[in-house]
Amino acid sequence: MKNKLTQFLLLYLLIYSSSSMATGPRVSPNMFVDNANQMHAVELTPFLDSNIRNRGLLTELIETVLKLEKIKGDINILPSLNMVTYYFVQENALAIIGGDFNLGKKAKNKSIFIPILTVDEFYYYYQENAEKTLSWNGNLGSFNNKKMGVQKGINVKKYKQAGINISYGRLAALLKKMKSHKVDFIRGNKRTVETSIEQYLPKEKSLFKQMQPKAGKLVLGISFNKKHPEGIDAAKSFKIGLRKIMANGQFKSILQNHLGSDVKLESYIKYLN
Amino acid sequence: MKRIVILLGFFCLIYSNFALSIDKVKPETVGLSTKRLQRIDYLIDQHISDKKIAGAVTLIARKGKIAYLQPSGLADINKPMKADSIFRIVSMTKPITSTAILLLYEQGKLLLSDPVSKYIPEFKNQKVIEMLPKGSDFAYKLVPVKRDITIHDLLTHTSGILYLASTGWFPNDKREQVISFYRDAGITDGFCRPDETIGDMVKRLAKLPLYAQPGETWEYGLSVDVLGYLVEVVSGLKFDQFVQTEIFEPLKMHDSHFYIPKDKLNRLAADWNSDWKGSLERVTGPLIDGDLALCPNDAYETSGKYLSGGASVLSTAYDYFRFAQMFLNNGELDGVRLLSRKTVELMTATNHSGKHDATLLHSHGWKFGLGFAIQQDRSHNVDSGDKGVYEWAGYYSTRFSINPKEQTVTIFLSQTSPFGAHFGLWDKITALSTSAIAD
Repeated sequence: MKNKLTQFLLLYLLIYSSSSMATGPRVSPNMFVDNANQMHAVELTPFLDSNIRNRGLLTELIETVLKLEKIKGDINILPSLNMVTYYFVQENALAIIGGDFNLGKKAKNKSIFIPILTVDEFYYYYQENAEKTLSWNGNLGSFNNKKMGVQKGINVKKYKQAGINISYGRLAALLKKMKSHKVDFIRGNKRTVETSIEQYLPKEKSLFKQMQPKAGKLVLGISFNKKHPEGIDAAKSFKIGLRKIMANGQFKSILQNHLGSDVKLESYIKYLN
Repeated sequence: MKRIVILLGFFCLIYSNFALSIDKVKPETVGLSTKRLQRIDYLIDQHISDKKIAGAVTLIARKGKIAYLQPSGLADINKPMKADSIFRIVSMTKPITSTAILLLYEQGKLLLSDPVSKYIPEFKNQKVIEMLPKGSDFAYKLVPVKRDITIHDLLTHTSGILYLASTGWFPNDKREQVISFYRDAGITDGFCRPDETIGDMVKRLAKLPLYAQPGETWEYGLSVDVLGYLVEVVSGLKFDQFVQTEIFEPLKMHDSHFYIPKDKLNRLAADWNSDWKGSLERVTGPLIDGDLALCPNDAYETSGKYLSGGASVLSTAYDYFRFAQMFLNNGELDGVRLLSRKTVELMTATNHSGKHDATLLHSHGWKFGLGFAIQQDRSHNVDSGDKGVYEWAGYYSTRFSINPKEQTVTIFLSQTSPFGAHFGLWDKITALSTSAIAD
């Protein structure tokens, strides 16, 4: 009996130690299991950015609400807007995060969008290349025949209708294209554009110019998926949580932590209902 | 004062001679025929007079000694090619990067079987693209990887990561879809030096779908650029610093750099566009052909952020000979042991990529080891060489070949675009260098 027990223990130790010390691919269950509650976002510095504190302002605001309301959800920031839409439309991800999603009609119908922040958007040009040839009077027709830099996946129908030529690229590439005059102008919010100029073309900072009047607004938020088993309930809870953090001052505090203490909450929520 | 000037002059003389002096031996002392090697002179000169290439440096070594080192033609307009001219070796960077990884492997800092996500978390839970039947609502779907990419997959190009330029080499819908994500995400092949760090690029790349399940295909791509970043993560050093201190310095590769020092700018050979029919023009701007973007003039930048493990190194024929000779010597050169014999054997083994052949530069019968293509048998259409020969190339028409059986190193460096046109010339060079063996 004693012998058998010893043999068993030895065998157990052998199996246990060999599995724990084995080299080769470290196989763990999470390599194979999809997270059912994925929330996908496209990079938009400084709101959604894996390389900055708490992955950006919008990420922190959303994660705060998720935690408060005990909503299970993992935010995955991707470099491609088309991938974000794919996950929402095709894989019924719990939610997508950002602004200009360009979802088709079918996808819009299954989306519950909760706005969180709004930012004003402007058109920008590179002074040396476009100052004399570009004018903006609030009507897109004034950009007729000009080349606009746009991120892939954004709806460009209205620009094309106005006779504007489109060149696609990430913001960093579009800024360089503006500098080399392959693109005449871009549209973007002040925070994102200025952060990117600072990061990629700091020496030319003063040569990027903002045009007036403003181009419009970008509403940043979260779109829950009605087709996801938890989508509708999660959206309801999220709305409640968002109201709570606005009321208790957490929203303002996070906003100021990211954008500076002089930032006025009102300017970021002024278009929200 | 006069004495100081004389001393300085003397020092400069010694220094400049030292910089240019490369020991060559009479070919016969290492079993090569001088007369037969001269056939390479005629071959290269003919290509120059036909205006197919502007110039080249060709090096042939045997038994550890350089028997043939011939600069020919022009390095730039009105500037003759020199033995120490510096070249964009582009993808000949890849064996250097693979060596850096194997050095970390020898230090016990990583295992080739480790998932890359162990070091770069963005590689966890990657997706693989699968095309859906035509007429489906969506053209594709993304399925989970069956297993994470390993370091071994990156070394052997079996990771499923592509080059954007591959849309031109092997066009198909699936490839086009993956590359469209690369374009969205601002991924580049690294032949032009983007204004970002390699880590920035690799972290974005990791979030994009793979072309195939890891280990299930052989696709030449950005895998080695990922390895460059992996070196940074594992070693804690910038990639160029690691390569400098762990490879270039021990091997005395004094003219190998990621960014050229100012005082060597005049040694950098220009790139030339050739139609191989007599029209030859010095390249002045970027060469863009669909998804292939080449910026030969980026090599004149003396500093920058981007350190591509797949493409960034500038080097000379002599320096690359030293690197190649280290492999022929089973990991050691001039008393300095860089790699162990077993690691060199591992890198040059032909059974790393299973049934997949390295068919980009060669054809079936060539396998990819850990950094090079290796001749597995003679069932292919490359004329010369032996089983066990290993080699690789660079996009501006640079090549090297190492023959362990005959103890030869053959290096051909030119700067000629487009890439594929020089294949016939290279095959002839290897045929002539092999047939110069006279023992």
